[in-house]
Amino acid sequence: MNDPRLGSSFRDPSGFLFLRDGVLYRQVNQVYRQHFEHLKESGLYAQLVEAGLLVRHEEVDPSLALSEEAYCVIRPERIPFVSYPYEWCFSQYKDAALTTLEVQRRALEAGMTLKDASAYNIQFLGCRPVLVDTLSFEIYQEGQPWVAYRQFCQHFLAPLALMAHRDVRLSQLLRVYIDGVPLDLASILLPKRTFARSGLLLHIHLHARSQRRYASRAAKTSSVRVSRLALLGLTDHLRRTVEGLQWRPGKTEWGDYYKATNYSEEGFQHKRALVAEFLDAIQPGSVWDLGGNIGVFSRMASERNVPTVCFDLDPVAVEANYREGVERREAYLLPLVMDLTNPSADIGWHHRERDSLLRRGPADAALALALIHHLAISNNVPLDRLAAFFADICHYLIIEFVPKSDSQVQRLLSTREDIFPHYTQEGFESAFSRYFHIERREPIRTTERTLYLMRTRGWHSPPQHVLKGERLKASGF
Amino acid sequence: MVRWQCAALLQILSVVLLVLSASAGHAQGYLDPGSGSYILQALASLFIVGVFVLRGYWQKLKVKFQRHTAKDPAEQPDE
Repeated sequence: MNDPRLGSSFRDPSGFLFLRDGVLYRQVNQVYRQHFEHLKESGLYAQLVEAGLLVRHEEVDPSLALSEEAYCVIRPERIPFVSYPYEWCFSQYKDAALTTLEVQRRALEAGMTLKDASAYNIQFLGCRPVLVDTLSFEIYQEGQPWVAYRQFCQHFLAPLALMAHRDVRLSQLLRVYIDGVPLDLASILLPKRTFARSGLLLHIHLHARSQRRYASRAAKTSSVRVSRLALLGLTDHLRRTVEGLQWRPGKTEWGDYYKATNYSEEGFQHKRALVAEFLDAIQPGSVWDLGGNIGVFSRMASERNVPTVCFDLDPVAVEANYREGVERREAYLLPLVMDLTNPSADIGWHHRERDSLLRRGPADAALALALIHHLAISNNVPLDRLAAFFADICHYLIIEFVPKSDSQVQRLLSTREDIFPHYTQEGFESAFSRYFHIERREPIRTTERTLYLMRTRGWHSPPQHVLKGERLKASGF
Repeated sequence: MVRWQCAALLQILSVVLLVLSASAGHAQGYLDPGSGSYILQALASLFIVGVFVLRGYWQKLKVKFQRHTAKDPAEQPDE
Protein backbone atom coordinates (compact mmCIF):
# COMPACT_ATOMS: atom_id res chain seq x y z
CA MET A 1 0.00 0.00 0.00
CA ASN A 2 2.74 2.44 0.90
CA ASP A 3 4.70 2.44 -2.32
CA PRO A 4 7.87 4.44 -1.89
CA ARG A 5 7.80 5.27 -5.61
CA LEU A 6 6.49 8.69 -6.37
CA GLY A 7 3.00 8.77 -7.83
CA SER A 8 4.04 10.53 -11.00
CA SER A 9 7.14 8.47 -11.67
CA PHE A 10 5.85 5.27 -13.19
CA ARG A 11 5.65 5.60 -16.96
CA ASP A 12 9.30 5.66 -17.84
CA PRO A 13 11.05 2.28 -17.95
CA SER A 14 14.38 4.08 -17.67
CA GLY A 15 13.93 4.63 -13.97
CA PHE A 16 11.84 6.23 -11.26
CA LEU A 17 11.91 8.45 -8.19
CA PHE A 18 11.42 7.07 -4.72
CA LEU A 19 11.77 8.10 -1.11
CA ARG A 20 13.79 6.27 1.48
CA ASP A 21 14.03 7.61 5.03
CA GLY A 22 12.88 10.97 3.86
CA VAL A 23 15.48 11.28 1.13
CA LEU A 24 14.62 11.48 -2.56
CA TYR A 25 16.44 9.10 -4.88
CA ARG A 26 16.20 8.22 -8.52
CA GLN A 27 16.81 4.65 -9.60
CA VAL A 28 18.44 4.40 -13.02
CA ASN A 29 17.62 1.11 -14.72
CA GLN A 30 19.87 -1.11 -16.85
CA VAL A 31 17.89 -0.29 -19.99
CA TYR A 32 19.02 3.30 -19.63
CA ARG A 33 22.66 2.55 -19.01
CA GLN A 34 24.16 3.56 -22.35
CA HIS A 35 22.16 6.80 -22.46
CA PHE A 36 23.18 7.68 -18.93
CA GLU A 37 26.83 7.06 -19.66
CA HIS A 38 26.62 9.13 -22.83
CA LEU A 39 24.97 11.95 -20.90
CA LYS A 40 28.01 12.09 -18.69
CA GLU A 41 30.75 11.28 -21.18
CA SER A 42 29.58 13.73 -23.82
CA GLY A 43 29.89 16.49 -21.26
CA LEU A 44 26.23 17.35 -21.69
CA TYR A 45 25.39 16.76 -18.04
CA ALA A 46 28.20 18.99 -16.79
CA GLN A 47 27.40 21.68 -19.31
CA LEU A 48 23.70 21.75 -18.45
CA VAL A 49 24.29 21.82 -14.70
CA GLU A 50 26.87 24.56 -15.10
CA ALA A 51 24.37 26.61 -17.09
CA GLY A 52 21.72 26.07 -14.42
CA LEU A 53 19.45 24.19 -16.82
CA LEU A 54 19.46 20.76 -15.18
CA VAL A 55 19.35 19.68 -11.55
CA ARG A 56 22.54 18.40 -10.09
CA HIS A 57 22.72 14.90 -8.73
CA GLU A 58 25.18 12.65 -6.95
CA GLU A 59 25.62 8.97 -7.48
CA VAL A 60 25.02 7.04 -4.31
CA ASP A 61 25.37 3.51 -3.02
CA PRO A 62 23.67 1.21 -5.54
CA SER A 63 22.41 -1.02 -2.74
CA LEU A 64 19.85 1.70 -2.07
CA ALA A 65 18.03 0.56 -5.22
CA LEU A 66 14.47 -0.66 -4.92
CA SER A 67 14.62 -3.36 -7.55
CA GLU A 68 16.99 -5.60 -9.48
CA GLU A 69 16.60 -3.70 -12.72
CA ALA A 70 18.77 -0.96 -11.25
CA TYR A 71 21.95 0.13 -12.93
CA CYS A 72 22.71 2.79 -10.36
CA VAL A 73 21.03 5.13 -7.92
CA ILE A 74 21.36 8.89 -7.90
CA ARG A 75 20.35 11.50 -5.40
CA PRO A 76 19.04 14.61 -7.14
CA GLU A 77 19.08 18.14 -5.77
CA ARG A 78 15.76 18.77 -3.97
CA ILE A 79 13.28 21.31 -5.18
CA PRO A 80 11.98 23.18 -2.09
CA PHE A 81 8.43 23.38 -3.41
CA VAL A 82 7.08 21.38 -6.34
CA SER A 83 4.82 23.46 -8.56
CA TYR A 84 2.71 22.65 -11.60
CA PRO A 85 2.10 24.46 -14.90
CA TYR A 86 -1.44 25.45 -13.93
CA GLU A 87 0.07 27.39 -11.05
CA TRP A 88 2.55 29.33 -13.16
CA CYS A 89 2.12 32.88 -14.35
CA PHE A 90 2.66 33.63 -18.03
CA SER A 91 6.36 34.43 -17.82
CA GLN A 92 7.12 31.42 -15.65
CA TYR A 93 5.43 29.23 -18.24
CA LYS A 94 7.25 30.95 -21.10
CA ASP A 95 10.61 30.62 -19.35
CA ALA A 96 9.88 26.96 -18.69
CA ALA A 97 9.20 26.45 -22.42
CA LEU A 98 12.38 28.26 -23.44
CA THR A 99 14.40 26.24 -20.95
CA THR A 100 13.08 23.01 -22.47
CA LEU A 101 14.02 24.16 -25.96
CA GLU A 102 17.45 25.32 -24.89
CA VAL A 103 18.09 21.96 -23.26
CA GLN A 104 16.96 20.22 -26.46
CA ARG A 105 19.24 22.41 -28.55
CA ARG A 106 22.26 21.63 -26.39
CA ALA A 107 21.32 17.97 -26.28
CA LEU A 108 21.24 17.77 -30.08
CA GLU A 109 24.66 19.41 -30.27
CA ALA A 110 25.93 16.69 -27.95
CA GLY A 111 24.37 13.85 -29.92
CA MET A 112 21.38 13.39 -27.64
CA THR A 113 17.71 14.33 -27.68
CA LEU A 114 14.90 14.74 -25.15
CA LYS A 115 12.53 11.83 -25.23
CA ASP A 116 9.81 13.82 -23.55
CA ALA A 117 8.91 17.49 -23.24
CA SER A 118 6.43 17.50 -20.42
CA ALA A 119 5.87 20.74 -18.53
CA TYR A 120 6.08 18.65 -15.36
CA ASN A 121 9.76 18.02 -16.09
CA ILE A 122 10.44 21.67 -15.30
CA GLN A 123 10.55 22.93 -11.74
CA PHE A 124 11.58 26.24 -10.26
CA LEU A 125 14.49 26.97 -7.98
CA GLY A 126 13.39 30.36 -6.81
CA CYS A 127 12.75 32.27 -10.00
CA ARG A 128 14.82 30.00 -12.25
CA PRO A 129 13.33 27.10 -14.22
CA VAL A 130 15.34 23.85 -14.36
CA LEU A 131 14.85 20.47 -15.92
CA VAL A 132 14.47 17.90 -13.17
CA ASP A 133 14.16 14.73 -15.21
CA THR A 134 17.73 13.59 -15.65
CA LEU A 135 16.59 10.46 -17.48
CA SER A 136 14.80 12.39 -20.18
CA PHE A 137 17.82 12.25 -22.48
CA GLU A 138 18.47 9.59 -25.03
CA ILE A 139 21.16 9.07 -27.61
CA TYR A 140 20.19 10.65 -30.88
CA GLN A 141 20.04 8.42 -33.96
CA GLU A 142 20.63 10.40 -37.14
CA GLY A 143 17.39 10.81 -39.03
CA GLN A 144 15.20 10.22 -36.00
CA PRO A 145 12.42 12.81 -35.69
CA TRP A 146 11.79 14.49 -32.33
CA VAL A 147 9.55 12.07 -30.47
CA ALA A 148 8.52 14.78 -27.99
CA TYR A 149 7.40 17.37 -30.54
CA ARG A 150 3.71 16.66 -30.02
CA GLN A 151 4.10 16.80 -26.27
CA PHE A 152 5.98 20.09 -26.44
CA CYS A 153 3.22 21.66 -28.51
CA GLN A 154 0.49 20.44 -26.14
CA HIS A 155 2.26 21.13 -22.85
CA PHE A 156 3.89 24.42 -23.74
CA LEU A 157 3.04 26.06 -27.03
CA ALA A 158 -0.73 25.64 -26.94
CA PRO A 159 -1.25 26.93 -23.37
CA LEU A 160 1.12 29.83 -23.94
CA ALA A 161 -0.59 30.78 -27.19
CA LEU A 162 -3.97 30.65 -25.46
CA MET A 163 -2.71 32.78 -22.59
CA ALA A 164 -1.18 35.34 -24.93
CA HIS A 165 -3.91 35.48 -27.57
CA ARG A 166 -7.10 34.68 -25.70
CA ASP A 167 -6.97 34.90 -21.93
CA VAL A 168 -4.25 34.38 -19.38
CA ARG A 169 -6.58 32.26 -17.26
CA LEU A 170 -6.55 29.49 -19.87
CA SER A 171 -3.51 27.94 -18.23
CA GLN A 172 -6.13 26.36 -15.97
CA LEU A 173 -6.93 23.98 -18.81
CA LEU A 174 -3.83 22.10 -17.69
CA ARG A 175 -5.72 21.06 -14.55
CA VAL A 176 -8.20 19.22 -16.75
CA TYR A 177 -5.89 18.04 -19.52
CA ILE A 178 -3.02 16.42 -17.76
CA ASP A 179 -1.10 15.74 -20.95
CA GLY A 180 -1.36 19.29 -22.19
CA VAL A 181 -4.04 21.10 -24.16
CA PRO A 182 -5.25 19.00 -27.10
CA LEU A 183 -4.19 20.80 -30.25
CA ASP A 184 -7.60 20.65 -31.88
CA LEU A 185 -9.07 22.41 -28.85
CA ALA A 186 -6.31 25.02 -28.88
CA SER A 187 -6.89 25.54 -32.59
CA ILE A 188 -10.62 26.17 -32.06
CA LEU A 189 -10.06 28.48 -29.10
CA LEU A 190 -7.36 30.62 -30.66
CA PRO A 191 -8.46 33.73 -32.58
CA LYS A 192 -8.37 33.66 -36.37
CA ARG A 193 -5.53 36.15 -36.46
CA THR A 194 -3.20 33.43 -35.20
CA PHE A 195 -3.51 31.76 -38.61
CA ALA A 196 -1.42 34.61 -39.92
CA ARG A 197 1.44 33.83 -37.59
CA SER A 198 3.61 31.17 -39.18
CA GLY A 199 4.74 29.54 -35.94
CA LEU A 200 1.25 29.08 -34.56
CA LEU A 201 -0.14 28.17 -37.97
CA LEU A 202 2.38 25.40 -38.35
CA HIS A 203 2.78 24.03 -34.84
CA ILE A 204 -0.80 24.35 -33.67
CA HIS A 205 -3.32 24.75 -36.47
CA LEU A 206 -1.70 22.53 -39.12
CA HIS A 207 -0.44 20.21 -36.41
CA ALA A 208 -4.01 19.72 -35.14
CA ARG A 209 -5.21 18.97 -38.63
CA SER A 210 -2.37 16.58 -39.28
CA GLN A 211 -3.19 14.76 -36.05
CA ARG A 212 -6.82 14.44 -37.03
CA ARG A 213 -5.97 13.32 -40.54
CA TYR A 214 -3.66 10.55 -39.41
CA ALA A 215 -5.59 9.52 -36.31
CA SER A 216 -7.81 6.96 -37.99
CA ARG A 217 -5.55 6.32 -40.93
CA ALA A 218 -2.47 4.11 -40.50
CA ALA A 219 0.62 5.93 -41.61
CA LYS A 220 4.10 4.57 -42.16
CA THR A 221 5.91 6.76 -39.71
CA SER A 222 8.91 4.48 -39.44
CA SER A 223 10.16 5.89 -42.72
CA VAL A 224 9.94 9.53 -41.59
CA ARG A 225 13.42 10.94 -41.58
CA VAL A 226 14.36 14.29 -40.16
CA SER A 227 18.01 15.26 -40.14
CA ARG A 228 19.69 16.57 -37.02
CA LEU A 229 20.21 19.88 -38.73
CA ALA A 230 16.51 20.08 -39.51
CA LEU A 231 15.74 19.29 -35.86
CA LEU A 232 18.00 22.12 -34.79
CA GLY A 233 16.09 24.31 -37.19
CA LEU A 234 12.79 23.07 -35.79
CA THR A 235 13.93 23.71 -32.23
CA ASP A 236 15.02 27.19 -33.20
CA HIS A 237 11.74 27.87 -34.97
CA LEU A 238 9.81 26.77 -31.88
CA ARG A 239 12.01 29.02 -29.77
CA ARG A 240 11.24 32.01 -31.97
CA THR A 241 7.55 31.16 -31.90
CA VAL A 242 7.53 31.03 -28.08
CA GLU A 243 9.54 34.22 -27.79
CA GLY A 244 7.02 35.93 -30.03
CA LEU A 245 4.24 35.23 -27.54
CA GLN A 246 3.70 38.27 -25.35
CA TRP A 247 1.22 38.98 -22.62
CA ARG A 248 0.60 42.53 -21.56
CA PRO A 249 -1.17 42.40 -18.20
CA GLY A 250 -4.19 44.63 -18.07
CA LYS A 251 -5.36 46.29 -14.92
CA THR A 252 -7.10 43.96 -12.53
CA GLU A 253 -8.30 44.94 -9.10
CA TRP A 254 -5.20 43.42 -7.58
CA GLY A 255 -2.57 44.69 -9.98
CA ASP A 256 -2.36 48.09 -8.30
CA TYR A 257 -2.90 46.72 -4.84
CA TYR A 258 -0.28 48.62 -2.91
CA LYS A 259 -1.41 51.93 -4.30
CA ALA A 260 -4.92 51.29 -3.04
CA THR A 261 -4.33 50.11 0.53
CA ASN A 262 -5.45 52.09 3.53
CA TYR A 263 -2.15 51.94 5.43
CA SER A 264 -0.38 55.03 6.62
CA GLU A 265 3.38 54.94 6.27
CA GLU A 266 3.74 54.48 10.01
CA GLY A 267 1.24 51.63 10.07
CA PHE A 268 2.95 49.91 7.19
CA GLN A 269 6.37 50.16 8.81
CA HIS A 270 5.03 48.92 12.11
CA LYS A 271 3.50 45.90 10.38
CA ARG A 272 6.80 45.19 8.64
CA ALA A 273 8.67 45.40 11.92
CA LEU A 274 6.25 43.02 13.60
CA VAL A 275 6.42 40.49 10.77
CA ALA A 276 10.22 40.64 10.95
CA GLU A 277 10.15 40.13 14.70
CA PHE A 278 7.80 37.15 14.42
CA LEU A 279 9.85 35.57 11.63
CA ASP A 280 13.02 35.94 13.67
CA ALA A 281 11.31 34.37 16.65
CA ILE A 282 10.07 31.35 14.67
CA GLN A 283 13.10 30.88 12.39
CA PRO A 284 11.03 28.88 9.92
CA GLY A 285 12.52 26.45 7.43
CA SER A 286 9.84 27.31 4.89
CA VAL A 287 7.22 30.01 4.47
CA TRP A 288 3.98 30.23 2.54
CA ASP A 289 2.68 33.74 2.00
CA LEU A 290 -1.03 33.40 1.29
CA GLY A 291 -2.55 36.14 -0.82
CA GLY A 292 0.92 37.68 -0.95
CA ASN A 293 0.24 39.82 -4.01
CA ILE A 294 3.54 41.14 -5.42
CA GLY A 295 5.56 39.64 -2.57
CA VAL A 296 6.38 42.61 -0.35
CA PHE A 297 6.11 40.51 2.80
CA SER A 298 7.26 37.29 1.15
CA ARG A 299 10.57 38.98 0.54
CA MET A 300 11.04 39.53 4.24
CA ALA A 301 11.22 35.76 4.55
CA SER A 302 13.10 35.04 1.32
CA GLU A 303 15.69 37.68 2.14
CA ARG A 304 16.38 35.71 5.30
CA ASN A 305 17.24 32.84 2.92
CA VAL A 306 14.09 30.96 3.85
CA PRO A 307 12.49 29.11 0.92
CA THR A 308 9.27 31.04 0.44
CA VAL A 309 6.28 30.52 -1.79
CA CYS A 310 4.08 33.54 -2.48
CA PHE A 311 0.57 32.50 -3.54
CA ASP A 312 -1.90 34.91 -5.08
CA LEU A 313 -5.16 34.65 -6.97
CA ASP A 314 -4.24 37.37 -9.43
CA PRO A 315 -2.02 36.39 -12.37
CA VAL A 316 -1.06 40.04 -12.83
CA ALA A 317 0.35 40.28 -9.31
CA VAL A 318 2.16 36.94 -9.65
CA GLU A 319 3.60 38.04 -12.98
CA ALA A 320 4.88 41.30 -11.47
CA ASN A 321 6.34 39.37 -8.56
CA TYR A 322 8.07 36.86 -10.81
CA ARG A 323 9.53 39.48 -13.15
CA GLU A 324 11.06 41.26 -10.20
CA GLY A 325 12.38 37.95 -8.90
CA VAL A 326 14.00 37.22 -12.25
CA GLU A 327 15.64 40.61 -12.36
CA ARG A 328 17.01 40.24 -8.85
CA ARG A 329 17.91 36.59 -9.54
CA GLU A 330 16.06 35.52 -6.43
CA ALA A 331 16.81 32.00 -5.30
CA TYR A 332 14.45 31.72 -2.34
CA LEU A 333 11.17 33.11 -3.59
CA LEU A 334 8.67 31.26 -5.78
CA PRO A 335 5.57 33.22 -6.81
CA LEU A 336 2.57 31.09 -7.85
CA VAL A 337 -1.03 31.57 -8.91
CA MET A 338 -3.44 29.95 -6.44
CA ASP A 339 -7.10 30.38 -5.56
CA LEU A 340 -7.30 29.58 -1.87
CA THR A 341 -11.00 28.89 -2.15
CA ASN A 342 -10.29 26.25 -4.80
CA PRO A 343 -6.64 25.27 -4.48
CA SER A 344 -4.87 22.70 -6.65
CA ALA A 345 -6.25 19.21 -6.09
CA ASP A 346 -4.77 15.71 -6.29
CA ILE A 347 -5.00 14.82 -9.98
CA GLY A 348 -3.84 12.29 -12.47
CA TRP A 349 -3.61 8.54 -12.27
CA HIS A 350 -5.02 7.21 -9.01
CA HIS A 351 -5.30 10.81 -7.81
CA ARG A 352 -1.61 10.67 -7.03
CA GLU A 353 0.28 12.00 -10.01
CA ARG A 354 0.13 15.69 -9.13
CA ASP A 355 -0.36 16.70 -5.55
CA SER A 356 -2.84 18.99 -3.95
CA LEU A 357 -1.66 22.11 -2.19
CA LEU A 358 -2.27 20.45 1.16
CA ARG A 359 -0.20 17.43 0.30
CA ARG A 360 2.76 19.65 -0.54
CA GLY A 361 2.63 21.15 2.92
CA PRO A 362 2.67 21.92 5.71
CA ALA A 363 4.87 24.98 5.67
CA ASP A 364 6.75 25.86 8.81
CA ALA A 365 5.14 29.27 8.78
CA ALA A 366 2.32 30.83 6.86
CA LEU A 367 1.59 34.51 6.42
CA ALA A 368 -2.07 35.46 6.16
CA LEU A 369 -1.80 39.23 5.96
CA ALA A 370 -4.71 41.38 4.81
CA LEU A 371 -6.37 38.17 3.75
CA ILE A 372 -8.89 36.92 6.24
CA HIS A 373 -11.62 39.45 5.49
CA HIS A 374 -11.58 38.44 1.84
CA LEU A 375 -12.10 34.82 2.71
CA ALA A 376 -14.62 35.40 5.51
CA ILE A 377 -16.65 38.16 3.93
CA SER A 378 -16.22 38.04 0.16
CA ASN A 379 -16.18 34.26 0.15
CA ASN A 380 -18.43 33.50 3.10
CA VAL A 381 -16.02 31.11 4.77
CA PRO A 382 -16.78 30.90 8.50
CA LEU A 383 -13.91 31.67 10.87
CA ASP A 384 -13.70 28.19 12.32
CA ARG A 385 -13.34 26.71 8.81
CA LEU A 386 -10.61 29.19 8.07
CA ALA A 387 -8.83 28.20 11.26
CA ALA A 388 -9.11 24.50 10.39
CA PHE A 389 -7.63 25.11 6.96
CA PHE A 390 -4.72 27.18 8.23
CA ALA A 391 -3.98 24.59 10.92
CA ASP A 392 -3.64 21.99 8.17
CA ILE A 393 -1.12 23.95 6.17
CA CYS A 394 1.37 25.36 8.66
CA HIS A 395 3.04 24.99 12.04
CA TYR A 396 3.14 28.70 12.76
CA LEU A 397 0.72 31.32 11.54
CA ILE A 398 1.28 35.04 11.26
CA ILE A 399 -2.17 36.39 10.68
CA GLU A 400 -3.70 39.83 10.53
CA PHE A 401 -7.22 40.30 11.83
CA VAL A 402 -9.08 42.99 9.89
CA PRO A 403 -12.22 44.09 11.75
CA LYS A 404 -15.45 45.39 10.28
CA SER A 405 -14.55 48.91 11.32
CA ASP A 406 -11.63 48.84 8.87
CA SER A 407 -12.34 50.85 5.72
CA GLN A 408 -11.45 47.96 3.41
CA VAL A 409 -14.02 45.73 5.07
CA GLN A 410 -16.54 48.56 4.88
CA ARG A 411 -15.91 48.57 1.16
CA LEU A 412 -16.57 44.83 0.91
CA LEU A 413 -19.77 45.20 2.92
CA SER A 414 -20.98 48.18 0.95
CA THR A 415 -22.43 46.00 -1.79
CA ARG A 416 -23.99 43.33 0.36
CA GLU A 417 -25.92 42.61 3.48
CA ASP A 418 -23.90 42.13 6.63
CA ILE A 419 -24.65 38.51 7.49
CA PHE A 420 -21.52 38.08 9.55
CA PRO A 421 -22.46 38.58 13.21
CA HIS A 422 -19.62 36.33 14.37
CA TYR A 423 -16.95 38.16 12.46
CA THR A 424 -15.47 40.01 15.45
CA GLN A 425 -12.12 39.97 17.15
CA GLU A 426 -13.55 37.80 19.95
CA GLY A 427 -15.09 35.47 17.40
CA PHE A 428 -11.79 35.30 15.56
CA GLU A 429 -9.77 34.49 18.68
CA SER A 430 -12.32 31.96 19.82
CA ALA A 431 -12.38 30.15 16.47
CA PHE A 432 -8.63 30.10 16.10
CA SER A 433 -7.91 29.07 19.70
CA ARG A 434 -9.48 25.72 18.93
CA TYR A 435 -6.66 24.98 16.52
CA PHE A 436 -3.84 27.28 17.62
CA HIS A 437 -2.06 28.65 20.65
CA ILE A 438 -2.11 32.41 20.39
CA GLU A 439 1.46 33.39 21.25
CA ARG A 440 1.50 37.08 20.38
CA ARG A 441 -1.13 39.72 19.77
CA GLU A 442 -0.07 43.19 18.57
CA PRO A 443 -2.32 46.02 17.39
CA ILE A 444 -0.86 47.70 14.33
CA ARG A 445 -0.30 51.40 14.95
CA THR A 446 -2.63 53.87 13.25
CA THR A 447 -4.85 51.03 12.03
CA GLU A 448 -7.81 49.02 13.29
CA ARG A 449 -5.92 45.82 12.66
CA THR A 450 -4.15 43.32 14.90
CA LEU A 451 -1.26 41.06 14.03
CA TYR A 452 -1.11 37.63 15.64
CA LEU A 453 1.54 34.99 15.97
CA MET A 454 0.02 31.56 16.48
CA ARG A 455 1.35 28.03 16.86
CA THR A 456 -0.67 25.05 15.64
CA ARG A 457 -1.88 22.86 18.47
CA GLY A 458 0.01 19.59 18.55
CA TRP A 459 3.04 21.14 16.95
CA HIS A 460 6.09 21.30 19.16
CA SER A 461 9.33 22.86 18.06
CA PRO A 462 12.41 22.16 17.53
CA PRO A 463 12.59 25.02 15.08
CA GLN A 464 12.70 23.68 11.56
CA HIS A 465 16.04 25.16 10.63
CA VAL A 466 17.54 22.43 12.78
CA LEU A 467 15.94 19.81 10.56
CA LYS A 468 16.61 21.71 7.32
CA GLY A 469 18.55 20.09 4.58
CA GLU A 470 16.90 16.87 3.58
CA ARG A 471 13.65 17.66 5.27
CA LEU A 472 11.03 15.45 3.77
CA LYS A 473 7.88 16.45 2.01
CA ALA A 474 6.25 13.33 0.65
CA SER A 475 5.14 15.18 -2.42
CA GLY A 476 5.42 14.01 -5.95
CA PHE A 477 7.35 15.17 -8.95
CA MET B 1 25.50 25.38 -51.60
CA VAL B 2 25.23 22.22 -53.69
CA ARG B 3 25.06 20.08 -50.55
CA TRP B 4 22.19 22.15 -49.27
CA GLN B 5 20.29 21.73 -52.46
CA CYS B 6 20.82 17.96 -52.41
CA ALA B 7 19.70 17.74 -48.80
CA ALA B 8 16.61 19.77 -49.54
CA LEU B 9 15.74 17.65 -52.57
CA LEU B 10 16.17 14.41 -50.66
CA GLN B 11 14.00 15.78 -47.90
CA ILE B 12 11.25 16.73 -50.32
CA LEU B 13 11.43 13.33 -51.97
CA SER B 14 11.19 11.40 -48.75
CA VAL B 15 8.26 13.42 -47.48
CA VAL B 16 6.38 13.07 -50.74
CA LEU B 17 6.96 9.31 -50.70
CA LEU B 18 5.82 9.14 -47.12
CA VAL B 19 2.65 11.07 -47.71
CA LEU B 20 1.80 8.89 -50.70
CA SER B 21 2.41 5.63 -48.89
CA ALA B 22 -0.09 4.06 -46.52
CA SER B 23 0.83 1.10 -44.37
CA ALA B 24 0.95 0.06 -40.72
CA GLY B 25 2.56 2.48 -38.32
CA HIS B 26 3.87 1.64 -34.89
CA ALA B 27 4.36 3.45 -31.61
CA GLN B 28 7.95 3.99 -30.59
CA GLY B 29 9.48 3.88 -27.15
CA TYR B 30 8.20 5.58 -24.08
CA LEU B 31 6.12 8.37 -25.56
CA ASP B 32 3.54 8.10 -28.30
CA PRO B 33 4.74 10.73 -30.73
CA GLY B 34 1.56 10.60 -32.82
CA SER B 35 1.75 9.83 -36.53
CA GLY B 36 0.28 13.21 -37.44
CA SER B 37 2.97 14.90 -35.39
CA TYR B 38 5.80 12.98 -37.04
CA ILE B 39 4.50 13.80 -40.47
CA LEU B 40 4.02 17.44 -39.63
CA GLN B 41 7.49 17.57 -38.18
CA ALA B 42 8.90 16.27 -41.44
CA LEU B 43 6.92 18.92 -43.32
CA ALA B 44 7.90 21.62 -40.87
CA SER B 45 11.57 20.76 -41.09
CA LEU B 46 11.20 20.72 -44.87
CA PHE B 47 9.81 24.22 -44.67
CA ILE B 48 12.64 25.25 -42.41
CA VAL B 49 15.31 23.66 -44.61
CA GLY B 50 13.61 25.34 -47.56
CA VAL B 51 13.89 28.68 -45.80
CA PHE B 52 17.60 28.02 -45.16
CA VAL B 53 18.11 27.23 -48.86
CA LEU B 54 16.18 30.27 -49.98
CA ARG B 55 18.11 32.42 -47.56
CA GLY B 56 21.28 30.95 -48.99
CA TYR B 57 20.22 31.92 -52.51
CA TRP B 58 19.21 35.37 -51.31
CA GLN B 59 22.60 35.91 -49.69
CA LYS B 60 24.33 34.79 -52.90
CA LEU B 61 22.23 37.25 -54.89
CA LYS B 62 22.97 40.05 -52.48
CA VAL B 63 26.70 39.43 -52.61
CA LYS B 64 26.61 39.25 -56.43
CA PHE B 65 24.69 42.50 -56.59
CA GLN B 66 27.04 44.24 -54.19
CA ARG B 67 30.08 43.07 -56.18
CA HIS B 68 28.45 44.25 -59.38
CA THR B 69 27.65 47.73 -58.08
CA ALA B 70 31.12 48.05 -56.54
CA LYS B 71 32.77 47.37 -59.95
CA ASP B 72 30.62 50.01 -61.68
CA PRO B 73 33.06 52.76 -62.86
CA ALA B 74 30.40 55.41 -62.26
CA GLU B 75 30.65 54.59 -58.55
CA GLN B 76 34.41 55.03 -58.45
CA PRO B 77 35.45 58.29 -56.90
CA ASP B 78 37.22 60.65 -59.29
CA GLU B 79 40.77 61.20 -58.37
